[in-house]
Amino acid sequence: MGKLSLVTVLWSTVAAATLLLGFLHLLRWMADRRARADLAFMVTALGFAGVAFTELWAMHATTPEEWGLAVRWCHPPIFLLTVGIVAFVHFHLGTGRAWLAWTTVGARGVILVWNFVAWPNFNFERIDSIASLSFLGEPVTVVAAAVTSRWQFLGTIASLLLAIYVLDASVRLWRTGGREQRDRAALIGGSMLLFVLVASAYAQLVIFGLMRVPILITPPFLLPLGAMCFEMSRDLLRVGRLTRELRDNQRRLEMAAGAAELGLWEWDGRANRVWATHQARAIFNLAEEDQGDFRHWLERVHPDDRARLVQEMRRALDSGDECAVEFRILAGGAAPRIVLARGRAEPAGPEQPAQVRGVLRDITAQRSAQDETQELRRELAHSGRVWLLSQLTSSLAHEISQPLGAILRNAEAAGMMLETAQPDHEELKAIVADILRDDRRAREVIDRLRSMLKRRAGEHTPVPVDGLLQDVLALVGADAASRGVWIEHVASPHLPPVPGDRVALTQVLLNLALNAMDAVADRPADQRRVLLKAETGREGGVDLCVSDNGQGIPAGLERRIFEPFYTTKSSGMGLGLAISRGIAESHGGTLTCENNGQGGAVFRLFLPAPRETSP
Amino acid sequence: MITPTVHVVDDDESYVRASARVLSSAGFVVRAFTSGKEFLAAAGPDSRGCVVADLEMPGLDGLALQAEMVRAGVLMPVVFLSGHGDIPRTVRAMQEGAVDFVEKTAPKHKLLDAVRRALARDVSESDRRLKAAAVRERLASLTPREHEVLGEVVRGLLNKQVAAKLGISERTVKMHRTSITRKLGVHSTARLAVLTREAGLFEAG
Repeated sequence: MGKLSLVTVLWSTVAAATLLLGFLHLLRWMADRRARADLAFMVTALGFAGVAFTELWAMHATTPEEWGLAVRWCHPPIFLLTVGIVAFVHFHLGTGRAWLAWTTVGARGVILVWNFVAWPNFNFERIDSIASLSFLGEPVTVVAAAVTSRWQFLGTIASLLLAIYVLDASVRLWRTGGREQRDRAALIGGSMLLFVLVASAYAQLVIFGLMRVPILITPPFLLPLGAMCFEMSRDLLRVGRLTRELRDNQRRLEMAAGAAELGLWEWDGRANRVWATHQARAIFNLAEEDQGDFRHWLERVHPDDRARLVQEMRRALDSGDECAVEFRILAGGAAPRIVLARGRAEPAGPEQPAQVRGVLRDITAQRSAQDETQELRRELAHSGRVWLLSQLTSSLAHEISQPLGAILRNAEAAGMMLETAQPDHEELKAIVADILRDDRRAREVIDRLRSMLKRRAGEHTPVPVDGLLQDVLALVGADAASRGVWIEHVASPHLPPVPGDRVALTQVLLNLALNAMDAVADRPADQRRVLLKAETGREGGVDLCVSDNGQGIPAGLERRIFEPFYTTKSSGMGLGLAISRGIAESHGGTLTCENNGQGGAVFRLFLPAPRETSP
Repeated sequence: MITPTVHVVDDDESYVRASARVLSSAGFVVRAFTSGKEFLAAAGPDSRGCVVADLEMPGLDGLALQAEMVRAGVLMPVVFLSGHGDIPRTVRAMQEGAVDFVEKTAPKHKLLDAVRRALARDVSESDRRLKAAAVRERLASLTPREHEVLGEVVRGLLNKQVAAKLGISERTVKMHRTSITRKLGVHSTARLAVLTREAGLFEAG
């Protein structure tokens, strides 16, 4: 053929356009594997291109055999086209009936197999002659005389099945859906249905020899092709709009987060990478280009806190739980900032990588305010005790100055009388009696005061040892964390409960723990250790030990530190250990101290075992 | 004349007795009371001597007792006994005119010294009060006009000025002054001034 064939150009163009559109959908599917409708459309486009090619072949066939062969090879792309349409409708409309889909594809499959078993093809038993016909101003080959296969009605049924399937899916979508669904049902469903109906009806007419024209499946396919183009351009528009909305949303979110001084972060546990907002990087003192690798972030965290942070994140990731970690961030030479990270894990799904997402907040100011409050509270409690003591002292001074003053005056009077020539012995006797009575009075005052200072022994109940340690840990936990002290506790199993006043015993251990924390305050932050230990003591009793790795007790002070008002601290009253020892003794136990092997001190509260035979 | 007596007031019976013993041994006449009320019932404006009172007593405490004494005209100096240094109370007691403070547990010489000082002050005070009473008696005999003239004279005005101020003649002033001199037995203007001051007269002018 010398001159350019219009039919060839047209068919090729439509096929190419379809392939291009199919390719775009393939790309879309590759970007998002969940968009299976896109893959289905690619299959449809491939099938269609094949159909267009075989049609072209048939139109240019020179012998009946060649025409028959072209029709035969028309079937694989038709099968592909059918599978594509069924799958596309299934995924895009989502309302197709599965059994109808499988039946349609099955029928087409049977026809495809049959097509290659029969000769010349499925549709014809015999093709006798072909003819030439002018189509679009050029000669094309059409079938002139042929015998239609007896089984051709199966082809008609398969085409009808496809039409019913598409119609059914469209109607169902129309009924169930809203406006957008109805649009889609009308546009996609409608155009597909129209194509299937027109193309198969037309083909049937040709095959049954009712019309002497070429088999034309390609032109009606322009209908769904146009619909798909329209749908895709609408998608593009929607993507643009969504992108804008997304950007707006993100800006709003960042603004809100910025106003709340919250940094947003996301940690990909598998790739160990971090995404974070500007605010989050600012909190971490990270430059824009530093983000990404989780290790960069971790380097900014105080070395003592790194393991805990990673552990908590991993825990959240594995359990799919929420996490909240407080840690310090190194700020160059300045004091470390305290940061709170809260997050929620997105558990590893089949396609979703495991992530933890959350917010970040600098709570240094808040924490220091809390610390100050706590400090103030401590001071208040201390000054409260001092005040109470000064009241006690004042009352003591008055009460005791009466008998003391009287004793003094009587002694002085006696002295004066004895200097006279004839002392009055009766009076002197009376004076001595008065002195003795006032001495007794003074002692009574002191006894009363002592009993006031001494805690009245509370109800003695069996106290579980581990519970006691837990109580103390709960009380000092926050304080220890803020002072960077690592508190551990060990309790031997099967310790008997100790009979005692739980509150008083807690007070003793609390006092010892606080002392221990004071003792380790001078050590570097990562070496402050306090150990609470409960173990079996002598005669079945229980030893509760509080040891530290501080400076230890200076030699010769092991006894003195238990004396009232003896203190080594600037803010101390020197009553803690004296009262603690009093409590220990009121429980029939002892409170002793010694230096341990690590250079620190160990205070041992021994509580005897409950007596088996109580009177 | 009434014997100067040391009145010991303390709610602590034993301390009162012991203090009384010391003070008696030192040669003072002592009366002991175990409450402020008891003391006030026994004392009067004529009582002489001093009071040794505990600052802290149930019921009527030291300061209240002092106030009650002033109201009843019992004008003896007070020595307060305190159990311990109590500055605000001390200051208040000083402002109300206490003579001294002695700690209960202070050695006896401090107590005796304080009592001696208080007794001496009582003597001088009562002396001054007697004199003033005598002067007031004599001043009471002056006529209102003579009283007026005396006031101006004491202020240092000359007869002529007094006459001008009161709107009377100089002669009449001289007459009044002669009468005043006669009634009071004092000649010089300076002596008149001293006398009126002792009596607590014309002080506001």
